[in-house]
Amino acid sequence: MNAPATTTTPRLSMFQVLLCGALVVTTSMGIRHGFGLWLQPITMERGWTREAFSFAIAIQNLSWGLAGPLAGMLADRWGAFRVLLIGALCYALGLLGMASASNAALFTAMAGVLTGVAQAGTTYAVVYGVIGRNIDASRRSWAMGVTAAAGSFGQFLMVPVENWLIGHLGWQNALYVLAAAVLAIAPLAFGLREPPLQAGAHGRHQSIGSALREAFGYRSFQLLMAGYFVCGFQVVFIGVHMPSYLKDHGLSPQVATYALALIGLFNVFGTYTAGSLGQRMPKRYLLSGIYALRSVAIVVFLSVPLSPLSVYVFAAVIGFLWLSTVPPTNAVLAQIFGVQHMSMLGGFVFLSHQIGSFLGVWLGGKLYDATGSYDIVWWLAVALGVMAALVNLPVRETAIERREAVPA
Amino acid sequence: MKPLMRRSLLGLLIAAVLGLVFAAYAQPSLMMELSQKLWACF
Repeated sequence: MNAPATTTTPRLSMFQVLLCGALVVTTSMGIRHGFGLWLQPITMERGWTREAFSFAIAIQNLSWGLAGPLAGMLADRWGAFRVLLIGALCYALGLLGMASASNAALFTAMAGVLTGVAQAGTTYAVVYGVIGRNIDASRRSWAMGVTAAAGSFGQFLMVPVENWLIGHLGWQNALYVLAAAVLAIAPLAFGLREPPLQAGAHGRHQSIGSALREAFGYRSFQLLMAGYFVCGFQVVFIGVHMPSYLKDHGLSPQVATYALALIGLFNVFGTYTAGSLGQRMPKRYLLSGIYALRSVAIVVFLSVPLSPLSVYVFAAVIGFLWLSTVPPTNAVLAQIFGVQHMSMLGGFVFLSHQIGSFLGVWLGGKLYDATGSYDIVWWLAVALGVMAALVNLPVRETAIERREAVPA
Repeated sequence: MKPLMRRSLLGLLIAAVLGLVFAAYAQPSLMMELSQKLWACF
């Protein structure tokens, strides 16, 4: 007998889940987005190289990805509430450590490892597990879109806020303020506290090992991971290296700043739209379309003469497509595998995203140093986008068929 | 309040908040500071 992978009984109200989940993600994603603003003040005051600071942030991204599956596993097992509490505490300690670390190794441990772990415990994978378990499949993709849009808004909002804090309070006090602010996640976590699961409440009970074997052996999961890898590669390469690309081509720094603001603004619309569309059309086509459009946008950007206008148009388009892969990717996971291990599986898919991010940043710098231009990496991003568009097409969105154990 | 009006008001509120944040980026002082910090990375 085949058991459906998705049977849910809504328990927390949708409004409560969306409000608390959105605020958690806004806070967590927002604070981390402006970390680059501390590069100058910290390296100048501590006398460190920029490489030391950059290394810590690179470690943070890897740590976030590596801790994701574990945080998700714990959230699925103990409930997101406890993981969010621990995550908020780690985040606050990480920010305090950033402010007080007196040597580069300690800074890497606090700003890199600890803050990365904290982000794994307070961002999408953990919150999406609660959404998956409490919001009916008929509105799930939309709800994920709302939450992703909130995270995008946090990124957009916090850059000017953090810049203001550094300017008015000093870089250390600014970090103390953020450490206090991130503790707001703790009371919000109470709003995401789920009642204990009844045995079989979400369909057949499945062990962690069995869920992992099932997912990693399932072609659609592998394809989703491959697509998300490309998402990380493209987004982080563009976010990190585009200002340098514009500088090399003689554009003013204001153009780069406006471009980042436009990416932030359109990212909010893009994530919401992707979540809403995921409710109305097959998500594989949506994902395929997003990756294809990214490639088209990059080709057009590289083909037309570079000007402030071309940069702004590219920033708006690529901003619209920026994190728009997040809601449909996670909604497909819930659709295929159900919600029992959703945060853990979301964590593994996100790990693939972070490996792509790491390669996007690293290869961008490496190939630039080797060739004196970003051309190869831009075209690599285009080719990967085409590949991601193709690999998402055969993804099967229907619930995986599981054979129930038949009693002897 | 009718659902349509509620949705419209919510939409206006969101647009206003997003517009305000974007206006913050466009302030010359912030623009210059961000630009300098951004350029200093390269």
